[in-house]
Amino acid sequence: MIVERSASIETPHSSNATRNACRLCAPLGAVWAYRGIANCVPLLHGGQGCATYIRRYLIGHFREPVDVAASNFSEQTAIHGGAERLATSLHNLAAQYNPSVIGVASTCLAETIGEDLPFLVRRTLGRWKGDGPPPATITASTPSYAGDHASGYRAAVRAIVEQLGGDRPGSDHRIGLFPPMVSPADLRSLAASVRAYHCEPITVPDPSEAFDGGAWADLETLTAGGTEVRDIAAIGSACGLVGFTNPAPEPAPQDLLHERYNTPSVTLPLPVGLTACDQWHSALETFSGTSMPRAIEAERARLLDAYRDGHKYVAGRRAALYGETELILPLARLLWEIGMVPAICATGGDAKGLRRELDSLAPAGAEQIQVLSESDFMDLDAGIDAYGVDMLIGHSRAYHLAQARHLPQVRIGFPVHDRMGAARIRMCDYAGTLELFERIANACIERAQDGNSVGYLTM
Amino acid sequence: MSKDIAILAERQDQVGRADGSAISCGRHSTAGAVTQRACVFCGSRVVLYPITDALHIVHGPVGCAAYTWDIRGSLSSGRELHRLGFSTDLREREVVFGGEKKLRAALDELIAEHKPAGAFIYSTCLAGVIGDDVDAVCKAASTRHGIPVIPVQAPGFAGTKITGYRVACDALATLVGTGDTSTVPAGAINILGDFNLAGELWTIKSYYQVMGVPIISTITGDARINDIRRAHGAALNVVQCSGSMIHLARDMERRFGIPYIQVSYVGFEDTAAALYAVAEKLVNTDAMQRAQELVRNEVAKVTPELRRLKKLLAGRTVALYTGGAFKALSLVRALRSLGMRTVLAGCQTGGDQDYQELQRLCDPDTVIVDDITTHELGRFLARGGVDLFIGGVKERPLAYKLGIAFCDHNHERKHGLAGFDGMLTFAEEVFSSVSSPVWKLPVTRGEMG
Repeated sequence: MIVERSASIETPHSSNATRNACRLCAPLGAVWAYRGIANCVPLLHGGQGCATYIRRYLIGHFREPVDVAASNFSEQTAIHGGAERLATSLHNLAAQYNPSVIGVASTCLAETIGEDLPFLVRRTLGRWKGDGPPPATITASTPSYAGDHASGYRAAVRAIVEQLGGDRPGSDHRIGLFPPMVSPADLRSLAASVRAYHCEPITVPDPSEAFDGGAWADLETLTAGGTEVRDIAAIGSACGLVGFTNPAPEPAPQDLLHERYNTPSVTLPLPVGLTACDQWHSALETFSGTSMPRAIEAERARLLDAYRDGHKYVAGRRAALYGETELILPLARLLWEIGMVPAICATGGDAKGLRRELDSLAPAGAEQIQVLSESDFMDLDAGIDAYGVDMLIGHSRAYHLAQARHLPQVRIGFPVHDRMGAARIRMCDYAGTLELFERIANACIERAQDGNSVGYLTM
Repeated sequence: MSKDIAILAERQDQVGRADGSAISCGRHSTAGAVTQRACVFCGSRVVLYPITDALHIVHGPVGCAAYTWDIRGSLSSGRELHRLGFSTDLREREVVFGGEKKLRAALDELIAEHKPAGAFIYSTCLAGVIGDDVDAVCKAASTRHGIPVIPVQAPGFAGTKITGYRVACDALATLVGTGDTSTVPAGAINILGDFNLAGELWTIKSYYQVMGVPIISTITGDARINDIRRAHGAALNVVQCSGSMIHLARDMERRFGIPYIQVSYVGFEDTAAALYAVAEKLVNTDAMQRAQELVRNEVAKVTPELRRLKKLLAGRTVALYTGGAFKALSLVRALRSLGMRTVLAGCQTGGDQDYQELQRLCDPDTVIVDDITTHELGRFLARGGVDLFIGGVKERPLAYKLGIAFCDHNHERKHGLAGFDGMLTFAEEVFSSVSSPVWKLPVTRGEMG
């Protein structure tokens, strides 16, 4: 008898408090996005602590300098409004950094006292007293009482395309990409794939250099790289726009631009895993009119070959995934693809969209999985006790859960504070998937080997 | 000086030379400056953080709690409630209707779940502007559960990090004096302002044990609520990190007549001076003799290795930027004992007197800075002539990008740097970075290193 059932069960957050939070605040995501615009310096309209805590988190992860300014509210500002401090901040930032763009994001404090950020910024630019012309600005509303770092990132990316986006006549060989908060190495992989089809990528935003730069010969006050404002201003004329599955209710940047400029656009799963990568490369073929280059065919073949070589080590292994929806979703898809079980998917945000996507992805007959909604790390702790997993896959902040149970943890996502190389962790495209697959397989092998005195010369 | 490092007009008087005019300080950070300071909440949170058997609940949105969950390397010899990050995680609904109900429910649940000896409730920016009566909720919870539930009024905008220290001291002051001191031995001390990073407090305690000086409470490293309640039984408060704890020491002097001394355990000179000062203040000749013996033994133990390192480090130059001023002063002295010269010294929270003392202590041309911006720091370091930067993790990549060695002397570090052994660890850590061959590799191909 076939019983109709959902592929996942949702466990709601079990407490009146959040205990060891599994999400960060919205302004962090905005800062991440703004650092991906060329010569852009982020400014938070709020307290000094907001900027410093966010800097601390990003610097610890990327091991790169990350300058974030704050308008630095005082008691007076909280009472009388922050117009003056915001104006001073914009002038002081322009004087120190000479930026092309200042990316402004609000905080819970500014939003709660009712600051009209777009108006205040416009007014400051209209009465500009700086030496040169005022820089371009972007404003995004990112109060930390709503959403999380991922929604803050999305809000800032939307603000970037809405406020800086434009087009020019005709179509060209550029492809616009709107990736979620992935590593600089993944951003480089995605861009390289576009180039392999003889197109020029415009990644919005592109913090791959800002968050993974080299040693300096001289001081760089604003680090190199990032999406050029002029490229965003012409993005409407790209030959294609690629966004990635994002189950949030707000419109995605590729949809906004498609609506405005009729630019061909597609929304794909993030290319993690063979089938998702196939979809990504099919889209690149369509937009570029070029078929898949041989070198990429070879990468694809190597990935499938590795899957076959390694399938038994991972077969049936159960993993806990945690973090933002944009990370959990591609990872769950990958695990199902290689015969593993994403037994627990824990997000600190609302899981409605995540569940919908997971239910549609789950292979027929798959074991029912647990989705933890609005969860924290104590919920995940209880979930692991209740359902059992063989490993954790996600960022560093669950290390104590893995450590206490002597479980392997494959570190990926944000933040990875306790290892080198967070900026170079890959999952995207065939080659990135291969790297991640081998890390997962090796975690399984290492665990078996650690508990066994027999030699592992052959396996 | 201001020309080549482009200091903002508002900040000109916060930067100077040791032989120059007074450094302006204690101000709100300049709008639009990227400074190393955090906020009032941060100041209070770091001070109270190491109290190990209390719940620390952030009444605010999730970020403030997430960024301060399990962040300090403060060790505990008992419970580890301090390493958990609790929050009421305020949302839009609470912004509109208030967060008191949520706070009450969170308190009831978390207290039942964790059975803490007390709880600290941090009011952040958001709680501050939506007008929750946190005091009333705490008072009622305290009565219901029979433990101290202490509000910490720390909206981020209500001052600077220094204000946060004061707020933390106010919270502690409500505990001090509420416990029974009948079993406290005579001539006992409180250790204030050590946070037991990497077990440093235990090192310091071992010195006082050798001296035969009893310790009632340690505030706040490895602290227990009930020990803090009995802290007023002490004969002397020994205050390190005076920026954060002086307010409590003064309060205890005023209310209970307990004198205090300011000390530091960074470096030989300061550690020895601290132990002698305690013995002297307690008029305990026995303790003094034991302290002298201890200092002799400890110094003898590490001196040969330190001499070797000094030979290798002598003449190197250092820029240092700390949270509190007292640490900056100690570091200048400790570095001098290694033959190293401080070319820039600054801190986040120094006061007028601190900077005057720093100016007196440093070489005439040493740059002295209050609340340095990242922009200024980058320019200073890029001018050359700095072999080592001592600061926090936020500043580390800037040093490395510019090819400068780095030593972490902030609250996240994993090595104990206090006391006599700590001085050796410090010298070794400095040497491990300064002497690395990676600095000699050419930045561009073909260039000679």
